Amino acid sequence: MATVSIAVPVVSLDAEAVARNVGVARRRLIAFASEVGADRELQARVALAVSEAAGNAVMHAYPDAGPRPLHVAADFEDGDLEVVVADEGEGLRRRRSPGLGAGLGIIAETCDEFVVREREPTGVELWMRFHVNG
Amino acid sequence: MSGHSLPDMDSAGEERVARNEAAFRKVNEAIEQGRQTREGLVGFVCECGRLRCNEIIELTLPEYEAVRADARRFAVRHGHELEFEEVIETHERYLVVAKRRGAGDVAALTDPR
Repeated sequence: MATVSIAVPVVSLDAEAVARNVGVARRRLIAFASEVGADRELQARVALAVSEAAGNAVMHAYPDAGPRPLHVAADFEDGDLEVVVADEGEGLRRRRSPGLGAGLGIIAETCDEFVVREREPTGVELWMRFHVNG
Repeated sequence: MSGHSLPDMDSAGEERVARNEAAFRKVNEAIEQGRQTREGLVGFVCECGRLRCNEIIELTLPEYEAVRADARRFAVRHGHELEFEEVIETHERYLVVAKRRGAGDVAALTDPR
């Protein structure tokens, strides 16, 4: 059986969950969204959602000192831009420092589809889909 | 129960709060959708509708489903109920409040289900 390889545009960033990397993630995703055909309005929505998602990881995922991984990845397939922002923090628990920030509500209003997953063994993964064509 | 009051709250203000609550309901729908097991307590965001509140409340999935069965109802943390809402149920970990009047219509119209 012949194997057919189909290249799907992807971008990923593994970094420390610190404030400066929110901007790095945002700029990388804006560039990627532009490459796959997103117009300015959609680029702005992607930028906002990624900023809020990464910002939440920076602000709320890691209450203690120690490693603070932040994972951002995106691909483009069938006209949709899919973005995942994940951390390895303490997950959706009642936290010592209250609040996830208003970010999740903004993300929910910004992207076309949105799923929040708790990761194993720890952490939260925000999956976002944006319709680029249509 | 007195609940929180928002200054000069009018019907437009109530509708704005209802839209905020609807946004947090979308977040909680996203949390439920991403859940891989139906066991145990799940962290959801408080649906009280104040922009500065995004605290976590814990419900089981059946408890959450019971709230979502009525588009005008929201789960909020104790003390986060607002004056113009009716407290329908009181649980140890959360309250269920119901929207009335125009805010109730906003809640129903924005229900993703």
